[in-house]
Amino acid sequence: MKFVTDSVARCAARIGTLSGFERLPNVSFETPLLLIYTKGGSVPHLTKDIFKTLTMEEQLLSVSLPSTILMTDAIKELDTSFADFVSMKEYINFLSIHDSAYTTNSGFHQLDTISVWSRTGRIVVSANKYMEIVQAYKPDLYVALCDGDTNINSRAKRISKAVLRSKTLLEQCLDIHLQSDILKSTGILGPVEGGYNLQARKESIDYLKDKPLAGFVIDGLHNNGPDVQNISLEQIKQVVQYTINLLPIDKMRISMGCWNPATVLDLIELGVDVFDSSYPYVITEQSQALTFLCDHDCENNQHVLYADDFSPICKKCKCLACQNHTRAYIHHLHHTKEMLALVLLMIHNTHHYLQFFNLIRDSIKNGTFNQLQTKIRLKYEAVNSESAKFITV
Amino acid sequence: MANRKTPLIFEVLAECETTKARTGRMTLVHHYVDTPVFMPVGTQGTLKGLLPQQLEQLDCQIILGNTYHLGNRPGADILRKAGGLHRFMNWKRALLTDSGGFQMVSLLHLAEITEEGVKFKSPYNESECMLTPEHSIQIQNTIGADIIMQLDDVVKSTLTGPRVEEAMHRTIRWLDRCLLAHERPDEQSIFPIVQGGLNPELRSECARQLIKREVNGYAIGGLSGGESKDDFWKMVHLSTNILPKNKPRYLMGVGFAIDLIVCSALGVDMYDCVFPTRTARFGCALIKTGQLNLKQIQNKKDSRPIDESCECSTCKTYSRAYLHQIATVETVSCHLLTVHNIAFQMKLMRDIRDSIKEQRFPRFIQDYMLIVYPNKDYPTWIINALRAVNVTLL
Ligand SMILES: [Zn+2]
Ligand SMILES: [Zn+2]
Ligand SMILES: [Zn+2]
Repeated sequence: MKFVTDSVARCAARIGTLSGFERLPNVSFETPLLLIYTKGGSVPHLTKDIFKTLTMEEQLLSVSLPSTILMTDAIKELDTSFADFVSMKEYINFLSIHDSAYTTNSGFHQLDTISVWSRTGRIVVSANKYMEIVQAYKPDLYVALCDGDTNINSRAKRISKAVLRSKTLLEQCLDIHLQSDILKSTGILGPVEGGYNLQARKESIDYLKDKPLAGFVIDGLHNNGPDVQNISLEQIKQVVQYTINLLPIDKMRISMGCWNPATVLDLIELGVDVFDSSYPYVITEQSQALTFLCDHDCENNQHVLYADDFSPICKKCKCLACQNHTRAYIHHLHHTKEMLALVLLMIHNTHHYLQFFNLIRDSIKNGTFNQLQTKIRLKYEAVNSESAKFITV
Repeated sequence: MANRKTPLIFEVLAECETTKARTGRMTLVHHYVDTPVFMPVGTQGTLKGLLPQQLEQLDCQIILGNTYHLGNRPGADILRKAGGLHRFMNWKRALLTDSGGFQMVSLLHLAEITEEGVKFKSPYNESECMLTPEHSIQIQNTIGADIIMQLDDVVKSTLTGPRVEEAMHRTIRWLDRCLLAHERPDEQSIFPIVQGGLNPELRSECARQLIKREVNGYAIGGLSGGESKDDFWKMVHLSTNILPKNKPRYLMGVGFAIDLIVCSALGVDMYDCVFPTRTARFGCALIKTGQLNLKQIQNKKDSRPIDESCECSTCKTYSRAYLHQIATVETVSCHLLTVHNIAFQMKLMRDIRDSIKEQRFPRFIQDYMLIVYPNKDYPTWIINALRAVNVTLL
């Protein structure tokens, strides 16, 4: 795997290219990149044929353990890979530990293990066990096992524990990684821990920076789940800026979690390259339709859907939901608890968010990034501007 | 009268030389329908998470909506403003709606039937409401389906005695009220419903009365409600013997593969059932020998598709092992199994039609039954029903 960026500034919005995947050598991605969030191996609510109508392009899927760890036995037994097992082998996939869309339970740390919460309960994962899972899954990219159980309220003791444990886990994972034939061409990413403590961040980067890593995940800023959309730039700016300043320029930087679009832009401005699409999923689960990119009269000055509004969610949207269905119909589906409501919202929200990343890349290339940032920030900062961001079904 | 458009043209393309089966094409206002046909049920203006274009890809030509549910939500007012259910749900092909009566009687314990109509307490505000034949047709006129159903007086299929006879006569009276109330005869066809419980005389009498009315097709109702299979097939057989050959016959609430095959041999053209979509929700896939419950542990390491011969997108893409992992957990699994189950029903009906057309339907029945009952332990009702139409099982 290869990451190239022509950026010379350490901390700035930048364009990069991610390519050289052994399994699919012709695939390449431009950053800032949106990883497509998956759960249980599928994009939530979307069958593969529907997902394909949403995007014909190559995509990088994000996979996490809670919804997939129970598949490990079957994958091993069938001697296959995760991508093959879930029938997504035409897509590159990226494995991380926790599910960005759901709040990770705090605590339950024992020695050098991490707790993963599957459908059937807690599963204790050591570096050895994790690397067994990785070798079964055969992802194209993955994060080393780590303790990212810190947030803005974490105390010094928890933070130093997290850094220390993550260091041990990284060394154990890397040992196995470097000896594994299966993982020869797989990229391993280093998780930067340290919560909101700058000294701890530095310690974390110090042990990571000379390791043969494909890039870095800026971890330990939150415990995942819908609450992440409410984290503002003020809270994270200092620590992210400090962290990125210590990271090598030529390596990819990833930030997982359902950040809101304004914060995504701020993180990009600080030099983050990769995000995941848990945000449109979380919005879908909240029964909302994204409209934050609309600068026409789509919102109709209303932030709820009406039973007799026969216009689409967005008049200019080219997604399958907006091309074929009305707000009234989606409203009806939602109120009768029909699954198609979530299908249509997921189609629209994912489309909207993919468009957002297209706009971001274009704006960096043609020097209008700051205008885009100002526009989106206004929508997210304005008081009583629900309707500017999304419509509630 | 001569210039009046007919909203339903039924052409019989081939008749089986052995059984009473036939294959034909029904041309409706919104789409044509090849018969015998299975109609998936989309109760509330959606078919269990599938997009209309997925249904088109599955070759569905007609789906069913439930008047009782649609009348409650979104309600007739919204449907009128939308310009009917077709436009509301963006379904461009044919639709059929039921009368709402059956659902009312089966869902609401408080329903009471009088000559005027079905009296019930609103599940929302406890107020007294009345569904009359006129009201049922009025809502169905608003929904705008290609085929609509008369309000009938439904009694439990196992009931006997004077109530069955009363229901049969009332059904005929209500039909006349429905036909009179019908405001869109150029676009929608009302199907009368043959009632009469399990009593051959009452059923015959009902059918004979109904065929005197000027309608475009007929339904056989009041069956598939817990009666014995021997009673069931006899009532179907008797009804199709009386109903005219040049009009489609719709057997309500039937959808198991075996029943579809037997009843097609008895001359039925249309079916509907919630079973294929409902069972998908519980993680079950339809296969020729019955059902495959994907939650069961034996699927865990099975890399085969649900059915190797199935052309559906689920079978072309996913393994049983993967479906085992997500069945009843992710909504995607429900969509995937619904796709397969509808594809299964569509393929079965296509096979029935093709075999009738090619005069090999009896052989098709024999082969299919042998797959389902490899030890030839055929249920007697199947043996008897098929013998009645000159087919002997292998
Ligand atoms: Zn818009
Ligand atoms: Zn849209
Ligand atoms: Zn299939």
